[in-house]
Amino acid sequence: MKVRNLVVISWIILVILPLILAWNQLNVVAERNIFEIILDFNNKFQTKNSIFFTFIVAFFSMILTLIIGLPLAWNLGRYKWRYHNFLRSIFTVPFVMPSILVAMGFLALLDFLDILINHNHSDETRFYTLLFAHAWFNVALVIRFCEPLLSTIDRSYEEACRLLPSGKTKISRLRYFWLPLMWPNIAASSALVFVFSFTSFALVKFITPAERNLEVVMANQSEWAGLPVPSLSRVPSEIVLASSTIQLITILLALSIASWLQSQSSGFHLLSLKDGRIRVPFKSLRGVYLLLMVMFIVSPMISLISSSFMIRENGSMIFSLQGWESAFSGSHSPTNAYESLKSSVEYAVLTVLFSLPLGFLLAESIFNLEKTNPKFATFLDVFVMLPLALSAVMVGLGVLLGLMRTEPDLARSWWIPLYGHLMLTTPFVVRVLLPAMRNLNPHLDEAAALLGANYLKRLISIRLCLLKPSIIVACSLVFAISLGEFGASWVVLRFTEYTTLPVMIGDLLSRPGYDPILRPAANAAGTILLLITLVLFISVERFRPLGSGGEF
Amino acid sequence: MPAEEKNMYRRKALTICLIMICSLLPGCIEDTDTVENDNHLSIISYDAFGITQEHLDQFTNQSGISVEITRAGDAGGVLSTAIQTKDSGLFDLAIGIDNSYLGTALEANIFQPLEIDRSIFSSRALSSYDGNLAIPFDVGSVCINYDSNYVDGENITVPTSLWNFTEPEWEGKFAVQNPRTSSPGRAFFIATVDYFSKDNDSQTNYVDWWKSMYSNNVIVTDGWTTSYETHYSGGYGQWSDGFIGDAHAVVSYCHSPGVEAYYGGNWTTSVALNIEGASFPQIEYISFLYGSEKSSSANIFVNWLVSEEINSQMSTINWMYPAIEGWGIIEDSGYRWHSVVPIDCDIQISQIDSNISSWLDAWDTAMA
Repeated sequence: MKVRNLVVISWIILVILPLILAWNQLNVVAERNIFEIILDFNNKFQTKNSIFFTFIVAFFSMILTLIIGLPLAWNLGRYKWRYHNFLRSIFTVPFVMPSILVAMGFLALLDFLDILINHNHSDETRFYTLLFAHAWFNVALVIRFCEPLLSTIDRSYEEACRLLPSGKTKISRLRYFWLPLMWPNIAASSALVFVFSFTSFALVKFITPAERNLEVVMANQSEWAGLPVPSLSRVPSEIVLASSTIQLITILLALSIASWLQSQSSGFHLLSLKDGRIRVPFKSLRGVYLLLMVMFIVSPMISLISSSFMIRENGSMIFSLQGWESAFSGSHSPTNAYESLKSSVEYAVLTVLFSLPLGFLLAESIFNLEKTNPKFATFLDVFVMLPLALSAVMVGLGVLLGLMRTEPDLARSWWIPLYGHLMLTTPFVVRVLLPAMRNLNPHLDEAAALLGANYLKRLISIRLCLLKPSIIVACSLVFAISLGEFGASWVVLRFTEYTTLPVMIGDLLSRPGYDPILRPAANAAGTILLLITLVLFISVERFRPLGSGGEF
Repeated sequence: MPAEEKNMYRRKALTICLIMICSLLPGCIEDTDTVENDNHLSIISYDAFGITQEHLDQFTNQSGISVEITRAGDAGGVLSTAIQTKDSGLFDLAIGIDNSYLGTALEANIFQPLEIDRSIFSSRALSSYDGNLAIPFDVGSVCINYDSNYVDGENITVPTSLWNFTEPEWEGKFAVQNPRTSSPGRAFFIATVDYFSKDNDSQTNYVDWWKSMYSNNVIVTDGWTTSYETHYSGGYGQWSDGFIGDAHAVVSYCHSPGVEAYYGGNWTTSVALNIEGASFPQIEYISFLYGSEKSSSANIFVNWLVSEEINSQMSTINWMYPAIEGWGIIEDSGYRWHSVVPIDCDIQISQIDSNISSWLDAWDTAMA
């Protein structure tokens, strides 16, 4: 059996196994079937309105993200700015920020706006804040999917379109030229934004505490779900079973659409390898717009950083470094920021080392299957993305219920959290490498094969060399996601003795905040994470190939 | 040197570096097997447990036993993890299972006996359970706190019955926690079951009260932090990000105003409401789990936790009353003055264990 096939089969098993373990256990405890449970959702406090709320939030978040993201992608793709790479990094960083920090940042921002307009925020204001937070978080998806394609479309085609009767006005050019060209990328990014908003947890939990989406409902019930104490675990098991089923079906549908659309987007021949962007100064209307967008992106980050320096004392907030001192000394947490950062970096490096070859082989399998068996290629593409869409609750339950029962020692191994990190990062490696592979000239490989070069030599001398920029980008993305990963670690890592920086932040935030140092210490740890991620992204951005195929 | 040869050397050097990193990294992360011995205790606790690394280091220096604490959410999370890992030996001790969950834990048969002299404990700490399977380490009553700024400012009568909270002046101004997802929420919910079963009105019970509260737009949150920090106008939340402050009463601990005063320079507007039978005496336990064979180390740790040296400090370490006789909460900055010791509800843990499922189902329906 080829190594590639072995990798594909292993991946499928690794993704499915926790799900099967979790579902099996939930089924044992649940007394009713899924349809009965879903029909009863609105009659129970725990689940009331959760399905409606989940869909509404995901849909409107998607619309708002497109409204914000598409003009941004246009301005970054069609125009050349001073500090262009820096700007691209700024707009991408939100996607890898731990959502718990984003929630804190937006809440601090909301407070600041409340002071400005002297208004106490209502549930309605919080709902809109949630939509903006989702848009902030996911705008990178729209930019990364659309901007590379926009930046490499030869200007001569647009000029030609202007001469045609149907290309006279901006609207007609949008309708007959840009939309037909861009819609697969727009739709694919929309599908992913929908998925991420659908499965959002920390943002919903903190920003709209009065509402619950399906992910929050599941997290609330996860404690008792699947346990062999029917008197306490029947209702939680039923709720998790039904919620996860609705979630999985919806997400599979959205991901299938995204994958199909992405496969439609390759094959456009309007692309040019030369940079066709026009240089624009910041002192223009377009420049002002871009700076406003930068402000939108950095505002929650600034509010997070400033919160780390503010501490309450005798009924007022004062400037203090005590939060930072506490974060570095570990006086209010199980470990200090140095130790946590060390664990985070170790896990991030290990994740890169494992995720990169795994993602490369999966991307190569999909790439080869696209030529021989396109249907299976689409299936595998969706399957690769599936872990991103799976509820952390289900994965956590599967791992914990499966491993803790059978191999308890294994459940506390250092590599178990690595499993969670691999599940979350490998899809991104595939998303970066697959379009780059599609853009490679196949004749180079064929010519080398004819000259007698074996697979390994062709891989090292041709493919890896040509894919180097994309590999560097994938490395940075995996490193940053792993560094900021919170959900899976929170579920699984807590059973090990290793505390990463996001877990340290979660620990500080989960304790009652009577002690005024706890929250600033959490914000200080968050600031460290933010700055590292920002520096990493800015330094790696220059390696990203121009027009890298229109995916992440 | 020709460029091709240079590239080859560069590639070789890169490969060697990568192999070195790969082989070194797993070594950086120490394997748990190396620390699994009799002098190492693995403990599962709830997130908010206040023992710091400094305390644990102190214990290790005294006893030679190293301790590793794993957080598992709230008291329910500790119990569910203990049940899941029963007989596995994964954890030696469980910290934080309270008397609202103790019946279930005893039923599940997950504890081994500990050898602790029970004469050192206060009668309050032994009121729910005085056996040797669960050793109390702190106590505190869960009750309603209200913001005196609102009550005094709006000239509202201080509530004397839970029914007062169903009146228009409290509409949308009372925050409680979901009893399925929060330990204080569950404790208060149990108190309401007992309160309405013992009041003078035999026509109504807890379900009627919760239905009335639902009609009066009671705010229900999934955890204590959201209700206290985000909604309650009388607590420290007013200085936190995302504060709403729409609730002027909240379910918390009867000594929460004391903690507020302790950090607020003997100043707080929060007051604990002492309605007879409407509070729950929460007692938190430490237990030795089945599957562990480290009985000696476990006993040493439990004895240390209930020793005068540590337990007397519970009011600042864990924001609860010490479980040992003769010690209370400290007097500094009005901590004790602002804390109330109420007349709690009186309900047996066996009664809770056998009925909690049906009570919660009824609550779910009443609140939908």
